[in-house]
Amino acid sequence: MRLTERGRDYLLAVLLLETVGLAIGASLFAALALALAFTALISLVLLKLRVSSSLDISTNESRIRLFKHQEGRLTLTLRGKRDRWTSPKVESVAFDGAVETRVLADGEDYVVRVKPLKAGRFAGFRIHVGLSDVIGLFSVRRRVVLEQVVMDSLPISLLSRAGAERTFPVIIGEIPAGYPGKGQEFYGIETYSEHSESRDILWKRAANSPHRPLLARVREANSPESVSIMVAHGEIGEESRADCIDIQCEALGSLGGTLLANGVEAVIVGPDGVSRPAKTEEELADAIMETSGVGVAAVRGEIRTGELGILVAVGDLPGNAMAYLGRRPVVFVGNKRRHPLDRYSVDFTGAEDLSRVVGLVLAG
Amino acid sequence: MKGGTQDVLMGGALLALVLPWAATTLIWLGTPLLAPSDLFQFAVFALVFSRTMLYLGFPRLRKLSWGASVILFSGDFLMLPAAAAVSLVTGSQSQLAFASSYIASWFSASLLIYPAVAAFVIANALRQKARLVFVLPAAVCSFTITALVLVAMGSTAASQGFTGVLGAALAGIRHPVLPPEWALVITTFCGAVLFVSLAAYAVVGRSDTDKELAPKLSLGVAGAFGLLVWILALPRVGPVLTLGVPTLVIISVLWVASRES
Repeated sequence: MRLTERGRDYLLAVLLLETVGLAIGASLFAALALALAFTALISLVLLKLRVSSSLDISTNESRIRLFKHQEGRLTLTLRGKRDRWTSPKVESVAFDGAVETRVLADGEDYVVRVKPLKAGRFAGFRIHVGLSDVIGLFSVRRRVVLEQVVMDSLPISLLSRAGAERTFPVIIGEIPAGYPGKGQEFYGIETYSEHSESRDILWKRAANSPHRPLLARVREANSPESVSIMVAHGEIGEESRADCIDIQCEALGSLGGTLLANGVEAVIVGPDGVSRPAKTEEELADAIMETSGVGVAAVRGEIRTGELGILVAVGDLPGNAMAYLGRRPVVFVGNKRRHPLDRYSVDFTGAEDLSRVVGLVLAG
Repeated sequence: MKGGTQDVLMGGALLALVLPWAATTLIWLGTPLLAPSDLFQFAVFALVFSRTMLYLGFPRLRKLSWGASVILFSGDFLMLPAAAAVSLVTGSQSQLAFASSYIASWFSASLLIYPAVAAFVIANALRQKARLVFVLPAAVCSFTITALVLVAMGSTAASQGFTGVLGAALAGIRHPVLPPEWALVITTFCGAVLFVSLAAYAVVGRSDTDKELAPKLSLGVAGAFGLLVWILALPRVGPVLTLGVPTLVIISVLWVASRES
């Protein structure tokens, strides 16, 4: 319970009025001061009687999906307690996370302008309601949390990938990648080297020209039908969690978007071990958001390799983690760089191009 | 506050403040003995009157700070210490005598003219939803001074000069007199109107809708009813014990209640 600005003014005015009225012998105005004091007392009692009753707050939608830095609107409705003797007022709203909010009164309802500053899933919509008495002298602040309201802030990297030109055509069956690899299709001819397989040597040509260098067939790589992107969480400080999740989302958006643009299904494996396949951008957005909402502590220190394609390592990984990774591409997010970077790893801060990483995986 | 309600409150307060002043002015105008008797008194009166007209006529002057407004209206007081200093330096009492008679005339002119300015300022403050801490004491002080001058002049207007307006008011303070019936009627009526206007203004605050207005006003009525019961139930033990102490106790209770977490 606190005095409002008007309440302070009111009580001070009553006190002054009483003093002046008694000092100049104007009892009429001293009586006015007492009447005003009685009024304030009645108003306070009415507020006290109603303060424990529940507040019914609802929103027009329980899920908001926006891109990072995009502004959206949410309508709040206070029901039930708009009685004659108390007036509830939404003072402030906030999400758990980096979401800019602004409340504007709109008749009986409130319009909340929301603007996420970081990517990720934000739940726990906290609303601070000021319940004031009928003449606005006292106010009680109450906090209501709407757990069911969730905000999905999509990474901007998804936007940049939307409508990107596809490098690899989608065909039924094997998908030729358009670069040398270990598929069955003929790609080209090169001089035989120690890395070439003996079955690829063009023996007929070697027999015709025994003094010339050996030539070998080069096969074309096949694009995989799906690539797993595993998210592993190491130690993340609470203060840097929002930043890490933001960059994680951007990394997943960039990697997944590139894979989809190449006709490859992206399977995002969260730190909880759950696989979330995505064949469309909508599914990818869902998978990224679900992964970002997974708690950190549940899998701290555990690296699951499985059918690992690309690893997105968030935070500081355990010391022995790198032993499991093999020669797989790793996208480091919020890492203190304990592990030296090589051609298979990228230090990602949110804006780097990750198509090289995708290329490494697709090349097998 | 709704426009209609605001107009009624402002009109009530204006009526309560202006009516006693108008009656005082009528007495003054109808009593030749109270008119300025020489050029000096007339000049002082004209000076105060012209300042008032300037203040009311030029909105820019009304936007002056409180300090500047006080100096504009009552800077004449500075004449007294200046005259005293000059008298001390020169050893002559003539400057001090001049300043004293000036201030006496200025006081009389102020008592006749400034209540109108005060009424204007307070009505304006009501219209602009000024803070209660200013409006309530200012309205009460202004009304009390005007009522005092009215009662004093109505009782002792016969044998005073222009500066006697001040003398009558001071005499009224020192020896309260039984006011003439008409003065009693005017002050009681205006006091009641001002009481209601100020109570409504304090309680209503900034209501935007009729829906909010009704419960606020009913709460004000409940407060007034509480006062009535209190006064009827208690024996008359003096205004300090009957009104002052309970007000202080209630304010303390409200203050403590607002502090609890």
